[in-house]
Amino acid sequence: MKRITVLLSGILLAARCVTAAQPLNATLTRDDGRAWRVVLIGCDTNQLTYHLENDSTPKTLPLPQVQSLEIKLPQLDLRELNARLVSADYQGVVAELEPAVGDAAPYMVVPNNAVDAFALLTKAHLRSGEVKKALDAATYLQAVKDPELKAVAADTMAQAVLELGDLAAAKQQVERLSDPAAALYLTARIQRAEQQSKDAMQTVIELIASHPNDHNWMPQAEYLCAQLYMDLKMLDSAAEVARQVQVLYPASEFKVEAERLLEQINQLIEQSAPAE
Amino acid sequence: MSEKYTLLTRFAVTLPLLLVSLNGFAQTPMEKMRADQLVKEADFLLNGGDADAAIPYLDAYLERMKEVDDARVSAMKQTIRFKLTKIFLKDKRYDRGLGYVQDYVANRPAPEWHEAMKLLTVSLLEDRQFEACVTAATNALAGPPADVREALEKAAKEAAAEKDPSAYEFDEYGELIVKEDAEVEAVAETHPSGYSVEDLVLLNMTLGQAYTELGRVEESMEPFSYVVKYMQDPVRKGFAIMQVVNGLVEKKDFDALTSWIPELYRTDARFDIRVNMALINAASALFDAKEYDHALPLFRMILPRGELIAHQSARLRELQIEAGIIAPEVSDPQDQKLSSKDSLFGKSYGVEEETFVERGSNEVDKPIELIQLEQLIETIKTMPPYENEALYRNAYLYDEVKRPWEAVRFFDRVYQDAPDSELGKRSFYEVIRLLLNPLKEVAEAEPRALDYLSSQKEGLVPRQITYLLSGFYQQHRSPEKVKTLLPVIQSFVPEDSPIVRKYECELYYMQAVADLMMMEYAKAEASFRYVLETFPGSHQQENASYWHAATLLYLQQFEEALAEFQDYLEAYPEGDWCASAFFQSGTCYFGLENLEQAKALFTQVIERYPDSPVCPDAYNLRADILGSEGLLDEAISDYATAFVKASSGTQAKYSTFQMARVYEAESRYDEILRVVGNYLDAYGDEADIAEGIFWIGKTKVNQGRIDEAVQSYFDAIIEYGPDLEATGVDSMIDGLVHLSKTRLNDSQREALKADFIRAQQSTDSQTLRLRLRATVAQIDDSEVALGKALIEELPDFEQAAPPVLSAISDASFELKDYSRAAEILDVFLKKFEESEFMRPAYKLRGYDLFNKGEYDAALDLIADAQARYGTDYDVAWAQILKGRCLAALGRHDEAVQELTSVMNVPGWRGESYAEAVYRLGQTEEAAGSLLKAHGWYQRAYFQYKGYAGGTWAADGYLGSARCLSQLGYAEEARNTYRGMLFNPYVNHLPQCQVAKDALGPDQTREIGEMISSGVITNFTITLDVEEGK
Repeated sequence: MKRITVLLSGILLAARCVTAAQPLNATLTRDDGRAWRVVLIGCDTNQLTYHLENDSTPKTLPLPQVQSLEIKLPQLDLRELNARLVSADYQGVVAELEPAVGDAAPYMVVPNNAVDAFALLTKAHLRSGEVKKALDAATYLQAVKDPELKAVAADTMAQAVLELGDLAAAKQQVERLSDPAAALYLTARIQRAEQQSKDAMQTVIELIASHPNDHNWMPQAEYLCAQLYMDLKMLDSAAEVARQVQVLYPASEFKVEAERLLEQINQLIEQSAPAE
Repeated sequence: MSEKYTLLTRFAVTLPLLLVSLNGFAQTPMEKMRADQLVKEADFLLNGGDADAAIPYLDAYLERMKEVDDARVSAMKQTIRFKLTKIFLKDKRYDRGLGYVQDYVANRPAPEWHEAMKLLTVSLLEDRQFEACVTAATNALAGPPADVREALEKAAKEAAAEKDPSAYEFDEYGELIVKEDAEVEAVAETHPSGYSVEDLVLLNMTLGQAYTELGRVEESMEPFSYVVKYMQDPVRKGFAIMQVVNGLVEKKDFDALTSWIPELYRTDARFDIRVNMALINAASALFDAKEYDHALPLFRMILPRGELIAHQSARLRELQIEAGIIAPEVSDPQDQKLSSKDSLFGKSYGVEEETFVERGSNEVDKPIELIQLEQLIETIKTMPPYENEALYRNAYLYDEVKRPWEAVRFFDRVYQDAPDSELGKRSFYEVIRLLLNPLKEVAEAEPRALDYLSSQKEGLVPRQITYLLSGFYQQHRSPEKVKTLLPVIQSFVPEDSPIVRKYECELYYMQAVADLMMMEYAKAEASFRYVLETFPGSHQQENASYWHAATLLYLQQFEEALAEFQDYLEAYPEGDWCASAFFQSGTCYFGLENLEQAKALFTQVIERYPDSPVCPDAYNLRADILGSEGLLDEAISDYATAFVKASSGTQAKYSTFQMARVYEAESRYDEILRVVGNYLDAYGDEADIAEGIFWIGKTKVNQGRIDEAVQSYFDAIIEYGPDLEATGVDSMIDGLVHLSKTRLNDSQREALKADFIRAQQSTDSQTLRLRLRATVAQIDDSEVALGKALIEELPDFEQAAPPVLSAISDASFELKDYSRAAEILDVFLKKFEESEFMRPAYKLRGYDLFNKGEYDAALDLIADAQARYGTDYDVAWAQILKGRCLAALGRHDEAVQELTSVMNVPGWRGESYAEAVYRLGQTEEAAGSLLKAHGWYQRAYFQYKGYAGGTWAADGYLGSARCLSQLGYAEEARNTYRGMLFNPYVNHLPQCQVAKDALGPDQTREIGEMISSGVITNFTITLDVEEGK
């Protein structure tokens, strides 16, 4: 049942009119350049629903006629939030971003100023283990026009589905990914989930060899590599990879994750050491 | 307008005005010409393109006016010097050109000071005057002297005044047009030298090259770094980057390197081949310095050749389109690849001189950037695949940092890409090495290695791979697998290379060790001898010498072994095996029954090598000799010392139980309990607990403490019995069964049985339950019945301990049910290969194969059994069955020989002799030698009637009568039957029915009556005939 829900979520978005939980104030610029201050009510794949700030009568505008939305957001320092994410303060990032841009989700389908913050929120959801929220957010994010962000959204969806344990659905998602590095990473994750750690290791190495300078996927690929060495009971190798993740990727949240992993590995090494 | 401009203008304008009268001067001798006429003539010639002809006139002017200080003349002299500079330097005539340019910068005015210094600097570099070049470049970069600077500034102001100050350009929006590179302009404006950025780049490049040529790498870094920052031309920029990286590598400034390179990597410079070469250099240097964390990202940045070619080709097309040139076909000179032996690292990849050489006239229409790019692409295409070298080193790095899976796959990439290259072969070796250790991926390593070895017979790598496999098998105690490699080794093409010979020697040595491990001593002897003879003086000479002697010892060739041990000690007085050689020499004397010499050598080991591993053995064997001499206290003392010094459980066990035996002989039971207790305490799980408890039980029995003995056995069996692998428990069961039968009365025995049955019912362990059933069966002498029950009961033998399997084997043998023979032996070989209880399983399987007519397989199995158990009492069957197999195969003589040899083993006297004699009769009978057969049959019933319930004697009677009948001795045959019926050892056996049938009922009855009346007779049939008659 869960699998069906996950697969259908993207399709449902296209059909329904999504109503934001909280009305958002925004400046709506039409394709003819004219702009209005509006309160956003909702959005579907065809039209935007809103009312003017000084008139509560709902209005609609076909999406092709929307040039952009300038959503009224609280002051956000994305650089600082990104740094917090890198330091693995996922909950903190979610706590700040969710009330600020969470309700902007339905409007990702039109150009707007909340996209970057929303993408960061999506990532924070995924990292914090709020997989369902990450999946929902990524589903919305997929509607953006920027191809890079679109790809990120697709990757996130696949990861979220995988985290939810639906391996068959995750495999289908992976087949659709355009980024070969992402596809390799997720394939390895799926193999690991299927207890095929040795196969997963080969896939990760393929990623490392073919995309060594992909700074988006390399930190997590190497982190996964450390986990796989753990699975294979090669604890010294696992410790070394975890240590290298910390050194090589200081600007990635996987630096902190690797620190935590290294602690676990060291405990295992201690436990497996022969008693004095 | 600057002074420079004024002078040049005047010079250019004045000369043409005078051209009209040139013809009139043409024939005038130079010395008769006025100074202005000299200038005019030179100008005429220069305009006509004849610079060489103009030079004498210009020189003459300078000579004539050398003492004149007038400002106008000075200016003219400087103009002429500059002109001459350019004429000479254009043709690379540095001897002359450099003099003029140096004069120019030394004199005033010098409006072209910047250009002159630039020319001077570049020319000095080209003329390889590097020190002077450094001075000139440094001076140029410092800017003009104060007077020159002042004059230039004054001229600049004058020029500015002539310009319209409001003539700035604005765009259509009224914005000041911003230069493309504001930073670059800002630098240029503020640079104290007054040079443009372009000139500064050139001067810094020149200075950097001069420093490099002088070996002053550190000093070259600054000028090259400047070039990297400001150079627009990607080719030159790549060269500078390479120089900086190489400089940092040489400086070992790894921190600067690792912070500088990623910055660079974000630019298109990463597509420059020289940058990639520099990266390989840098990464390799970091790797060599064990700076793995720094080296790894650099290795990862190296782009493969194909990617560079693709990128540069795309750029080339862009340039060609810009230049309006149709893209030329760029051929792929695959066949022009450099030899892989060329160094792939190091500065040999430095930019080639021709990169900066001016192009020929046929390329004048192409932009210089395009020409250079074409050349660069050609260079990249003709290079060997450097990425493999990078991959190879990267793989090594992964190996070093304990990332073996990455290492394997990276090495494999190199191998897959270039399997026949040296690098590819080395990579394949590394793949197999890592797969075997640490990854233990035998399933991948073994077939790949063997497949490789099936086709690769030459060079070092196949031998190295065989070495890896041999080592792995040896490490995993699979000597039989080591032996499977012998044909591979023998198929290698011989080579004289020392390293190849060394590997080959090692491989043959490993073969010999495998023979030794398999206890194939004769083969081991031959193998070690082969190493010694084929590789004299090899690195394994010492080891092979020792082990060859040892194999002779194991073959009980004591004298030969002794001689070789002595040779070893002479050749290697400080050798690794000296202690062992002394000890084994003592063992040889022991074998030769020269106990005094043996004792002396053991004493030598004890005194000279007190810390050697064989010292406890020396104590043990010396104690044995002392014990045999009746010196029991001395023997005990040596055993005790051996125990203290023991380096293995085996040594401690030997000394402990030998002490126990001595104490037992002296009835010192408390001492037995003490030494056995010490042993069990000291060695814990490693100790032979079963043997220990057996001794404790036995001692308590001897002390009359029967109940305690029984209890200690019982407790140990219950405690260790659930562990299938605790085979010592089975020995305890054996001991307890014996005790119950010999020292317990019926009620005690019944009570013990009841205890076992209760324990059997209360345990969850099937293993213990089966063991306890076997114990009860042994007490009841009902093992065969148990075996029969278990054959039906057990779907598999997973939980069956060795005694249980043994009982099943015995039962099966008695029932002649061989259906599970193969299965039982398989379980033994897989789980309990060392178990003594395996013997009946061998026998069962041997008969199974014989009955199926699989004689060769039976012979193999017999060989295996004999290798394990030698001539032990209960494996006589093997020798007899061997004879029968050979007979069945028609190998009559061998069969007779093998069966006859049974009688050479004193331990097989009795039943086995009886059967062997009968089988000899059978063999001869089958071969048609009836007289010989009769002789053996007769011996069977005559000498061995009392064995095996008389069965072989009975069969012997029948065989004998059969032969006599066939030989035509009917009466003797009947007498033989009579003898059979009279013989009380056999006359109750079913075979007698044949005799009764032959004699008829009357004679049979008569014989019966005679026996009843007390008649005792013994028929002896003597044949007075010879074979063949």
